[in-house]
Amino acid sequence: MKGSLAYYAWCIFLLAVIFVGLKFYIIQLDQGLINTNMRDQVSWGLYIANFTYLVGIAAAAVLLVIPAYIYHFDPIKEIVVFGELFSASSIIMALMFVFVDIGRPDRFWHLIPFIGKLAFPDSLLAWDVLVLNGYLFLNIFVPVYILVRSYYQKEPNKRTVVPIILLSIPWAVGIHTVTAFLYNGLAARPFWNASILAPRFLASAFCSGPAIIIIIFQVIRKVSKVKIENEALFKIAELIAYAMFLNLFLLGAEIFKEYYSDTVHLAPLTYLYKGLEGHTTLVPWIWTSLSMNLVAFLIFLIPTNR
Amino acid sequence: MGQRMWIMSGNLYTRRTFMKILSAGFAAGLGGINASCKKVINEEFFQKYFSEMTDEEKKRVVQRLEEKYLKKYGKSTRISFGEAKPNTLWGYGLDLSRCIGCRRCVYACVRENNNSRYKPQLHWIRVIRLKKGNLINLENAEHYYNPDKVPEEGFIYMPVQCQQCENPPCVKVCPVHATWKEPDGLVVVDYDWCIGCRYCMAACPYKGRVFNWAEPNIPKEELNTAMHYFGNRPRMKNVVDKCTFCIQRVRSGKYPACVEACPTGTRKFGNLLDKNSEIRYLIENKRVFRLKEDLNTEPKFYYFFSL
Repeated sequence: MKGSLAYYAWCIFLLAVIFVGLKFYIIQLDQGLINTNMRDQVSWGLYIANFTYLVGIAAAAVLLVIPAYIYHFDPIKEIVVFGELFSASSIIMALMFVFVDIGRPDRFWHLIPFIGKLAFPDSLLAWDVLVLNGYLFLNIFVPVYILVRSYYQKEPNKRTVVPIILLSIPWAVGIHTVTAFLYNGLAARPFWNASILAPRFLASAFCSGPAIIIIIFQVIRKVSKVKIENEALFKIAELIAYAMFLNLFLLGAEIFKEYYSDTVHLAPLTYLYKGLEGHTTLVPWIWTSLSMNLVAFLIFLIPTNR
Repeated sequence: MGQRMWIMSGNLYTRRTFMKILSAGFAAGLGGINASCKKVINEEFFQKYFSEMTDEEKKRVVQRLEEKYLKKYGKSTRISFGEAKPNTLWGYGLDLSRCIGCRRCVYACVRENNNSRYKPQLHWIRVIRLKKGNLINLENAEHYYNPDKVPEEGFIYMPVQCQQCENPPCVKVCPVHATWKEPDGLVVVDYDWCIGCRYCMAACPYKGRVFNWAEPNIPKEELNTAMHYFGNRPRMKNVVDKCTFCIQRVRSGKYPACVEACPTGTRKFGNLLDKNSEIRYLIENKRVFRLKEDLNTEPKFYYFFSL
């Protein structure tokens, strides 16, 4: 199979973007993380935020796997491999974000179990290292296995593949729960130190992940001969509606708790939605996000709109 | 079949030349580094976890570090591994009635501990200004107060540094065990093991830890050459550091630099396990409190008002 001109142009564009990123990363390696403009006051920034986001959308592949393998919903069953590959690539991106965020990547080997000194089970970051790499393995193994079997014109052996795929379902929930617990366990950060964090993370991940998957499927339909039935996309949209409802409900719960109790812990929410003492940089972002959530929810709620 | 072979060999061909070019460039780059430099880089890269090093290896590490500092700062240094004294648990007392917010402690600490002076400016001690009548609500604290004269009317000043918690959340979250609590209660960081993930900074409720965002800028003339491996030896970029109660001083019978620098006698220090120490007297006779006690971190930093 040879790609079209557009395909190679897209690949070259992506390589150019990678090259630019690499150039800036080398500057960061040389001068230190001071170039990120993070400081002691905000020592975790876009790197970790994007890492969390990518772990979330990687977990969302489970929303394809469950209909395909547990409910045997055929329109999705044909395209679940795409979901798994999507997961694998977002996990790779998430792991790379961690890699560029840590100050001493030359000491990366300290994180490898038995070779370094991974602080398992005390540190949630240690858990994250293990579950993310495990999930990456699961999501690479299945598509590669299926591809290799089909190259030799053989059907994939169900007894090999299905247990692994079934394992990836709780594992997917696990990766985003562990990532949520990373923040959740910090007593020093009251905005994060709330039980609602893990459910909220999962709910919002199950909205954003399948949304990207839908976009990717539309692109695949346009540029290739792979057939994806409308029913598959409708089902995914329906699942997004359920997840979005949960997401908005949990957001409402958070907002009620802070605004009604009106303690000093209201400050982070005020900072996000109104700004604190003149610092309003994040305010337009959170309101845009909130309105997009609401609009998406209403669109996907009504079946004819999907 | 033949066509596939062509494509395959075509792919292999381009991949092979790519690898050739890549490895040639890599070898050329490596060849540019001379032999001794490579040895140091190798030793630094493979340095083992502190408690797993033999005494020989630790000596070699200190030797390498002293050579490095000699080259960088032009001064010969003495780096000790001074261990915790037995039956010792260091505690700190702070008399909030006396602090005038002059920040002499902050700068004495910077000088004693070889902190970066600028880009980034790292202070292990933060003095915060609180309005009288509004004490525990730290939301209204001001760290960047800058009047012409201190103390200002209607305010009190509260210095905060690493509280050397007995139940430290930072130690719990470090993914590589780069930070731990020593037997004498001091929470230390092995700067050569830290991977710079800053999770400990997120976990600390007191903002006790700072990060070397760039290679520290220390003026050569001001380098303090009496160093401890876990204390004031110059750090490198992208690792975390924090107050160690001047581990290089207290383990050899001296007071921390901040205690000696304070002009009003605000700071008290001693061994919590010694019945006759000043800090024990304070805890038993003054109304001491600690910050954020509801977080169960059990800090060793006792605040009180003597007046």
